[in-house]
Amino acid sequence: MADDIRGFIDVDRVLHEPARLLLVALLYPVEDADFLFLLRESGLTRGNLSSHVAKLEEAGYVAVTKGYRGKVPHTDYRLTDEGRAAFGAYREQLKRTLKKLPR
Amino acid sequence: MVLAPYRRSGGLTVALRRRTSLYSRLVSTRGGSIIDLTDVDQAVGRSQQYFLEDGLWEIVTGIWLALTVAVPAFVGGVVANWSPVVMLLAGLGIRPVVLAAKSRWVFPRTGHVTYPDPGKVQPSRSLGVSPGRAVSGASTGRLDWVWAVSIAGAIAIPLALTRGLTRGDGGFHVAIGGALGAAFLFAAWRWGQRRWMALASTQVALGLLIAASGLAGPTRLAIHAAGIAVALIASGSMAFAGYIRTAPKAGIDDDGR
Repeated sequence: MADDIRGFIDVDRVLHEPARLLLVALLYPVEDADFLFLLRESGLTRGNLSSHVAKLEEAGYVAVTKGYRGKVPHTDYRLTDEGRAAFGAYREQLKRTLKKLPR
Repeated sequence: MVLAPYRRSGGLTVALRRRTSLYSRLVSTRGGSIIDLTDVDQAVGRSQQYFLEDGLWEIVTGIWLALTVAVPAFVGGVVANWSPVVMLLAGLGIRPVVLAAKSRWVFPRTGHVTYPDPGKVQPSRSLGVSPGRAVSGASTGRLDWVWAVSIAGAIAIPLALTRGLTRGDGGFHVAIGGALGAAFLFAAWRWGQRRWMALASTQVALGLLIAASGLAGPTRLAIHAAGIAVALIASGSMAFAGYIRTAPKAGIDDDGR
């Protein structure tokens, strides 16, 4: 296979899913964000969001904290150092690969 | 709807850009995976826009400017001399006040976000889209641009006051209006807050009006500061009213369990 598109094959499969990529991108510049924020910004259903976050948590990219704010149950999500590094690496890899493609 | 050029390489869908929701932009209509870095970067920027879109920081900044610059400039004397110090110290309180207001009115409706402390030196998380990047320059720290405005104002306003008193020069107000106009225009483009374009125009017009007014230096400064404060408060209030109108009511179950 041509080297110029080999980068697509080697990409991080956890992040290479649009929904998970979006969630990681939303979490990247902040310390943490709650379920409601991610739900509204991503446009995913609750089930979908929970499922994708679970995969990210399983991969060690997202840390989940559950608690209460007053009487309201609250779930906060934070990108781990590993998640940040993975996102940065994924982005750079795609940038490099896309640059090699013919215009 | 705007469609970007569509490219193929070895049968692989490369990019199809549509101006729709973030998630929709990330998924091509053919069900393939996205690889549009622009949309990924926009998703990164979206979390930062969230801090700005409700208008609360403009309201708080306008009140701060009114109390620390406009009022002392009107009062004059010792109060005006201490104004830059008060301005800087009070500027420390802008962010906590804005965050407290958000916790009360914004986060319960549209979700809670904790932002990094701009005062702490930390690795950049911007990917080039950080609000602080425009003013932090080569610094390894994070400099909130509100800080930058505060520091610039604390230096510029005593200079303007001195200059106005000794030379009666209104050109400084034109310069301030132009600088603020350029800053808001850049910010409007950078962080997608279109109302700041109107704010930019207002600042330029205000600077010109003040310079042409023929008023004495301290009065000119006081009115100019009051005008900037009113513009910020008005802009922020309209944004906040719009946000409250469109955002869902608070109390939606945030349960991600």
